[in-house]
Amino acid sequence: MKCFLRINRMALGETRTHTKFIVIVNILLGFGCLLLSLEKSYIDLLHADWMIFGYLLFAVGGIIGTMAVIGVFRDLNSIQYSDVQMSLPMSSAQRYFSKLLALFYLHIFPVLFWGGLTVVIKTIEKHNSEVYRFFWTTGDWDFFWYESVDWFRLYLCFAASVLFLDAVGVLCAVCCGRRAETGYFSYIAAYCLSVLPGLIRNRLLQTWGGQTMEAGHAFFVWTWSFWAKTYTDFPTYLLLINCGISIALMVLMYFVYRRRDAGTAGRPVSNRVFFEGVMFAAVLTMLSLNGSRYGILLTITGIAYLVIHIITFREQLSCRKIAVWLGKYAVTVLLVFLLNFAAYMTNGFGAVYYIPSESLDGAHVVVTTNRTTGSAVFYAGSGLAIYNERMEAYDGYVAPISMSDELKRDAIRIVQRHLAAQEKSFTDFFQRLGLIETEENWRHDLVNITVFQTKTGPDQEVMTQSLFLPYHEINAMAEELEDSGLVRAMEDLWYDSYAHQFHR
Amino acid sequence: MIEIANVTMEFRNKGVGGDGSTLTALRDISVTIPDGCVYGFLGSNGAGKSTLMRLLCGVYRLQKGTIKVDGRDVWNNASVKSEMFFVNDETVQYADFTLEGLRKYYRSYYETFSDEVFYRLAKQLQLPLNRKMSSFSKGMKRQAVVIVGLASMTKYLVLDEAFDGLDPAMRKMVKDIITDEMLDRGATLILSSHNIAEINELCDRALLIHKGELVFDGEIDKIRSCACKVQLMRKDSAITREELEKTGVDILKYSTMGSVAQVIVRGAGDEIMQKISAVPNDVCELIPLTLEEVFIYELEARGYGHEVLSEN
Repeated sequence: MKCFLRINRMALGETRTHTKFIVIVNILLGFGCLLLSLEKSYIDLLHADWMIFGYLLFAVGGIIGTMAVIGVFRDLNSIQYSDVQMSLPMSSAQRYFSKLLALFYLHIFPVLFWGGLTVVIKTIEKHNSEVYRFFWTTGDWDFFWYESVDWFRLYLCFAASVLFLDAVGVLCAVCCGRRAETGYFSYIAAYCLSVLPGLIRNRLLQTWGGQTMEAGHAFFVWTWSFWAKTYTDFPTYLLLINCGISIALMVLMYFVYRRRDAGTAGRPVSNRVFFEGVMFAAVLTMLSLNGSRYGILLTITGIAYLVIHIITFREQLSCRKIAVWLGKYAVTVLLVFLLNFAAYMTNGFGAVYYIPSESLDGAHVVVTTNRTTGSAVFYAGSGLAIYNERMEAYDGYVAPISMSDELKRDAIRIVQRHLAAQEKSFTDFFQRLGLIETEENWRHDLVNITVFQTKTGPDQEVMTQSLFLPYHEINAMAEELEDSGLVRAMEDLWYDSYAHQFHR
Repeated sequence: MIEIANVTMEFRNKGVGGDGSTLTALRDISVTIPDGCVYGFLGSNGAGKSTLMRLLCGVYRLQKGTIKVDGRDVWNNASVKSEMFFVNDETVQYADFTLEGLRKYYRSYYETFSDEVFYRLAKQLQLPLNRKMSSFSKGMKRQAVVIVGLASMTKYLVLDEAFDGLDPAMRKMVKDIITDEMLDRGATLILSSHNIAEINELCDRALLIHKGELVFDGEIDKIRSCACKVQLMRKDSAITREELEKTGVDILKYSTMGSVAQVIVRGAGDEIMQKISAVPNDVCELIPLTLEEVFIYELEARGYGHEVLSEN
């Protein structure tokens, strides 16, 4: 307790030196709270559309947290501040944690306070509305509670976002030695960390696994705080874990901070591993954005890579240095390609075997083709069938006859095996990577397979997975399925009554 | 007491933005600073004075050697640092503070901080309490930081070029205030300055560093007497350097003007006179050196600013 009080006293001492920031952040968040709270309630001028400005002010209030981080950790950016702060009677642990506490007072607390106030006002306002009064009087507590929880989730999103940004800011502040680098590396790192898991999922697992996977929440647990609100099924507990990871990162960065002294103050980046890590993540992010315009992406990323090196190194430019940096970029791109190639060869690091990604219960696989000559496989919750283009008129699902889980798995394993058994070639790799895209070599023979999930999306829509197989592989798969007795020949299907298509 | 033993400090300019070079800022420095003294750090620009001060105050992490303050390590030691106050050679970091804000800031770190001393000294130096320090002159900023340092009531006060920017009258006043406040309570003052006269006047001990190496350290009087100037005259021909060196004296500088030879010799006066008397001469005169002359001749002997110093 005595130790905390001492750290708190130091944190308050640090906080007092950032009065301008305190005023600015509270003005932003205060007005954000006002706009969100008064929306369509008391003032006619504040139409619902104004709410976006409330969110915007909150977003700006959150983003400028990086400024607070830079200010609080200024002892790492300037030898003058190092002289003052590192000679003060504090151990490195006391200094670091007093800084974290100062960051809490400066930025995290205002976001939590104004966000909390907004949630309280909105909840009270909603509970006073006619609709709420109706449910209140009818005793429909579920509805009453649901809306309150929704605002609580929004509050947790504020908290998760601000903690995420500040944690990334602290990471960069501890690894950088100048204000500018701490600033722009914070935003680069925050962006990469936010989108990279999704891009890795899309590019490395989904594309090369030959399927679309259901959004795995655990996969995005830390970095999806910004988008969590848009996914109503993003569990609240994951938001709490999200906050926990950010706090843990801030605490763990102490072990890097304690190794630093004033000697590294003023160096653009004090930790080479950090610099190369961020640069690799940035290149990977950029090259995973859109596979169909790889040439443009390579050029834009290369220019950005070079510019960041010029800014960061602050050296006199020479042709040799630029050549070295371009060489480094080429190696980084090669690594990204190798990573993609590894994913291609392993079918998305084995992601192909997660079809369907959710439970088999009620899952059904539909294989269709828009080629007139194509045949197709239909796998329903209780069976599989092959049909051809003539069956496009067929709508709805056939009432399935019960099929055991074991048989479902057998059928799915055959689908997985054929997906994994696709012929590998560099041409195919580069084509699917997006480096080659011409009419001549476009894969005309790919057949789309759609796996319908039992699980429904945020708007109760049916969740699907899209798989692609070459035509000849589809035929082989259909034959194997038929041979195994899991499906019947399409001629039989066409003439059989629907009710008996999916026997067994 | 501060014991510095075999301290070596290297700056490796590695990593992002570094050119890979290594600069040895301090090489095998060993010094003892007794309690209650006023200790002066002398040295040329870039000699390593500020680096040594930063090591003393735990701003830099020690690489080789040891620094013990009352038997304890400084680095990462809050209790040792609570007995030290460091004023560096810049004031830009205080620009956003008011003097009152600076008081509150340091008060939250130093439990021994005395408001009474702070307000008394601020009044004495007529410094405005609620004006931003960015509007202060350089001298006023210096005074403000020194006041805070004194009010922190630490056992050790470390001042790096603390009197820079002060006019002569204010310089004297601040020096008087520092010596009164510090010596009254038996505290130790460590200061660096390029102004040797100032060190000569204020300090009872000093050290000289050049290019990271310790040239000498000890009591000022002893330093002054560790070298002296000898003027020799011989009517028929000037005494040559070789003749003098044969006597075994350590010559820092030798010059002639007609039949008069002037030599700066390292060592005690009596001993030097005894050795030099072996050389035939008509007149031999021993002239004590000032600290400034010792400083100049020692650095000159090491090739520092040779051309400039020779011209002067």
